[in-house]
Amino acid sequence: MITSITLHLSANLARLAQARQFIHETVQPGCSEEEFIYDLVLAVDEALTNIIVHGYENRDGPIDIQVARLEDGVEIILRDRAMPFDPTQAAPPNLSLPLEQRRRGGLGIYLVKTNTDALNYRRTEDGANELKLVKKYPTRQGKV
Amino acid sequence: MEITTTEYKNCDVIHPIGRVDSAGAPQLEAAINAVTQLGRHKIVLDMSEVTFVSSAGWWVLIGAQKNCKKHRGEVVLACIETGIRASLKLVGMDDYFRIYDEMTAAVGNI
Repeated sequence: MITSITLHLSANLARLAQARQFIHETVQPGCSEEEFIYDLVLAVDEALTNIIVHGYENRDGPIDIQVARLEDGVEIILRDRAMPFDPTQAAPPNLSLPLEQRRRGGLGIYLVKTNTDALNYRRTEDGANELKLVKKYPTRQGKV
Repeated sequence: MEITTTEYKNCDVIHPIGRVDSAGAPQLEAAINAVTQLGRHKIVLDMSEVTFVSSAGWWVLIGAQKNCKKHRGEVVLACIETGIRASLKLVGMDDYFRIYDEMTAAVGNI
């Protein structure tokens, strides 16, 4: 049976550290490989920052982080009640521009996408954004 | 996040300790600005005790590099942890910085 653990947070950048620690602690029993954990923590941090800064526009609001350890990876669902936003539809940034032409924006969602194996968005019937991130365990180290 | 700045003859070393996320990035930006506002634009960022950098942190460094290069200076990075270095490469920013494994080499070559 797959069990999940949920952390309820208020939308505030000061809460990011708590969210990262939560991901680290819940994921580590399934895979202790540092690179896997770092990539996943970074993806969640970027997704949460996006929700807080762009979704809630730095105003207070609820965010739920639900983590489930699967047989072959981790599934994380982020739920918020900010304005509808589908990050899976965001255009990728141009990474090959020279330094002088690089402009702020787009990197966070890019890091969410590249550091996960699957990313799904849906707007629920009761008006929440639900973003599902899935990351498979590295093949050389499966579930413990 | 704790940040220490040390002034050397040829450069300034900025040494943040902890995680540079969206909450901490403005603090790093302020520390860099405090140096550049003195007209000093050669900066070594000692990342030996930085354990996490999100895109907000990378944008601070990009802004600092643009500003320093305009003033014939540079930001160089030293002692970056493997995971952080991998994400720097992933976002296409590793070409914008000289990166050193040791502080002495970074300070000596800037």
